[in-house]
Amino acid sequence: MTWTPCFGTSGIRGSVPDELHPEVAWQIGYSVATVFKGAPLLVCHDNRTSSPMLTNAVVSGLMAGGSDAHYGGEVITPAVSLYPRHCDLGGAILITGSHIPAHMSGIEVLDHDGAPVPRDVEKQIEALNISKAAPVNWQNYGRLRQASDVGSFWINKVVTQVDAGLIAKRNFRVVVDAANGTAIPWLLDAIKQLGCTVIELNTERDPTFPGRSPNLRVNLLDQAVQLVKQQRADLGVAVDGDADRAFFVDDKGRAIMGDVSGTLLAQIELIREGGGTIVTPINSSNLVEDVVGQFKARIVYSRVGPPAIVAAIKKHNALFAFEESGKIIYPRLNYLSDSGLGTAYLLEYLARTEKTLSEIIDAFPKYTQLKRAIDCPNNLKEAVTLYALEMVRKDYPNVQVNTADGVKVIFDDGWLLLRPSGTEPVFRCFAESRQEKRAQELLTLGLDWIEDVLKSAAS
Amino acid sequence: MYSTRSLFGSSGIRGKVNELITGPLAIRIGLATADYLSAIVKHPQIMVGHDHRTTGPMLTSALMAGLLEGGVTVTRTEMAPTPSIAYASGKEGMHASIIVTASHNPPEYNGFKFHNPDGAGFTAIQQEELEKRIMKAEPVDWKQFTDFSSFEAIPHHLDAIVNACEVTRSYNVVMDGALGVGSLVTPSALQQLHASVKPLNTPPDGQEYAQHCPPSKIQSAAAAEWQHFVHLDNLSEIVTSTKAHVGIAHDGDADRVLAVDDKGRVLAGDILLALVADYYLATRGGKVIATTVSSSSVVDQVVKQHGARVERSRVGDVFVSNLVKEHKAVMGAEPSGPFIFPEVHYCPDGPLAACKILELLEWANRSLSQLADDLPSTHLLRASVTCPNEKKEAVMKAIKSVFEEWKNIEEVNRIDGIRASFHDSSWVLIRPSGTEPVIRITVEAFSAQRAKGLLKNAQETLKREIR
Repeated sequence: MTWTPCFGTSGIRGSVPDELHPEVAWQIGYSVATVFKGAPLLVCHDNRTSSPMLTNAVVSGLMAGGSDAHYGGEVITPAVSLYPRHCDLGGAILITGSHIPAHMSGIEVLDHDGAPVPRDVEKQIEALNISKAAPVNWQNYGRLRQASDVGSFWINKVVTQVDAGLIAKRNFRVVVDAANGTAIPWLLDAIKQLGCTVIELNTERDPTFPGRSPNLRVNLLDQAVQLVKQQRADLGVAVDGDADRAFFVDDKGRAIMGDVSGTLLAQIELIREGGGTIVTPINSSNLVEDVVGQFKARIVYSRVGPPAIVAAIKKHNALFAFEESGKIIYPRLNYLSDSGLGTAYLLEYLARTEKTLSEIIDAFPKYTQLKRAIDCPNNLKEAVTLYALEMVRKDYPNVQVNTADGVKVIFDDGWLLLRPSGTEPVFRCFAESRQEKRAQELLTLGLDWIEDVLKSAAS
Repeated sequence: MYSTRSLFGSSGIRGKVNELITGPLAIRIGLATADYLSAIVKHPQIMVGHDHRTTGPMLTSALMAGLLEGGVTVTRTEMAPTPSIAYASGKEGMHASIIVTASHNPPEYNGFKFHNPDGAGFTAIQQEELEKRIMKAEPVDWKQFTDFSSFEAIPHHLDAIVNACEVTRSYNVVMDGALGVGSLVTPSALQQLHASVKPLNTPPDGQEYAQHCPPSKIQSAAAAEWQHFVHLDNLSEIVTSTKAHVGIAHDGDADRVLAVDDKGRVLAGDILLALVADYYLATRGGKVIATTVSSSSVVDQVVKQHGARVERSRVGDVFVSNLVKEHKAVMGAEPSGPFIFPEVHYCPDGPLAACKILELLEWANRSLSQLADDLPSTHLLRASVTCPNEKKEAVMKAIKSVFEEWKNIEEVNRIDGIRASFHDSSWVLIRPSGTEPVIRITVEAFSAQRAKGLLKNAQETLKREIR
């Protein structure tokens, strides 16, 4: 027993079956039911090979802990996080490995509003996994219910947020790269119901993810880029394994960075609503400042990672949130990233403005963003942070510094972020400027600071 | 942790939920079954389901998790009787079925029954194979994890029952579902065979099951066994007050049947067996009827008239099923009510037995009470003597040599305890209980005096040996 189920930034993750196996999953279900005091919970899963097995174990644990299990089958993550709020359930458990390798999986626990449960609830669940709660009496066992409409409910919600008739008139041709994942058929159906022609890519359901990695990065979108060009499509959409995150490809076949598409969707939201608060992590491009500055809007920078983003959304009653990883969050409907809502709003905007996506993107100010990760032992991370702060105070006493997550140094013509990874022995350095040369300078500056500490520790 | 040595009883694994029977145990059972099936076939498929118990869905899901972890493709049925699930699994080409049920036990119990595709329960050898795998079966590689689908077993079972029976007259039947799953099949099957059915205690209810059954005023071995979960006096009264031809009850998972005749009398399973055996041997021929060591010699009397013979197994329906198979018996049954009709399958089938009773009535063209009254009347007595578990083996050995000195013994059968039958057709069965520190005695004779004498003799002999 070397592995203990612990919550990371997106639920409890581990490799299957050596770490995450049915007995562990049963115990987690049991603990969750105990913490939720027997409230009915939705249980759904992604298309991984281990999902039916882990889901049955979780469902069983829930019933043993006194909760009715509403089994929703295989659906995409945003459909699961959308459902509890509208259907009077105590919350949801989602079995998904999202974008991580195919032999792994994870268990996420969502609250009655579909948001990830707060840290203190996670701690209670972790504690019960170890102490093991007393069993409920045979008379109080939970029942098994079917929640067969989770996916169709989501499609309907997505399609009815926008003017589907307007979108349909344009006969958009959309490439959808489903990564052989859970997006099949849900996201494809939603886009079809918006009156678009879907050009399918990696739409054979296959839990070994043969088409491409279930992760989402700009450099993984080559197939989508090629197909958009070849098919002269209006738009390309690529999602991760469980289809919460989305990246877009414009009609010229250019893959769009996540913070650029996030900024555009923020802009669309501000136009629709007339103003509001936008939440984004501290490593997002300054582009959002330029674009959102034209509206009655406020930008709140959060720490990186879903729990921090959701906390900031709730605290500031945000209208919209995005992360450069492709997360697009519409809190009035869904506290988790929703690839379908993002795609629907983008299509509606294209239809309404009668512009192409490339025209819109070309009109945005251009930024150069550089990222680098440097190996750094965990025990030196704090030293790097302190050294960076000291160097800023000494060399740049008048610039703005944000220490919400690492050290972000904000110059007039760009910014630099030094951030220790939470999961690996790595220090990340981000730099951005409108001038490529300046971005390079800032990156070098940050890397030098890290190197200084590593060198002095080695000598 | 559970000891793996004594998990299996005569009818699968059974115990109190949250004590022996837990989700984690169900997962291990699933994985062990997967490991066992994978050693026999390449891509094993299994059907699983549960009865009306509140803990059934929990245990079924856990069982499935273990099966899927072991690479077995699972078909999950809705709540259904044991014979429905066992039947459908064979028809759908599965390699086995597991039913989550504790049969007639109180509602805080649950367990697992394992059946082969032909409906017969797992043999002792198969159970051993499972038992030795429970602590050590390993999951398959992540690419080989399997998926499950849903299935409705009951319509297939209903069709099979109706196709296997022929009744033209319309009988009035009171059917007591006892809040178990039998009412999901039997009323509908009887109606398709033109019966008019008055259902009692339906639909299935895991919360109320076996909660409101007062002890029966009826003094008989059958009543003693069934009164914990069937309100027998009520059933008896409704049968007589509605002038029904027959009253039917099932145990929790409906692999057993109990009949109440038109006079409101509860018929023991072996008396019903004698009647149905008579009908079967008369209309279908055949050489063998299968039952256990504990059933009445009335069965022998009836069977002998047809020039056929009775084969007896250990107590437990799995043993009767296998005996039916082994000797190509035309049917088999136990005094506690499981009936096996091999032309449909080898699983004890309560709903099918209920329909066979109507067939019997039509063939005999007489009432059930007349038929029962015409059987030779015997005196069957039961008693038990306290005996510490560790002494049982020595006592049973000693009894064997005592028996050899008794006079007029025709045959000694030692398949399950010691059953000595005498030339006057009386017999005595001495059998150590598998679950309690007692040795049970059953005697039967055609005179009350002879029965009492046999019982007294057996009790005294036992007490002397236990001392």
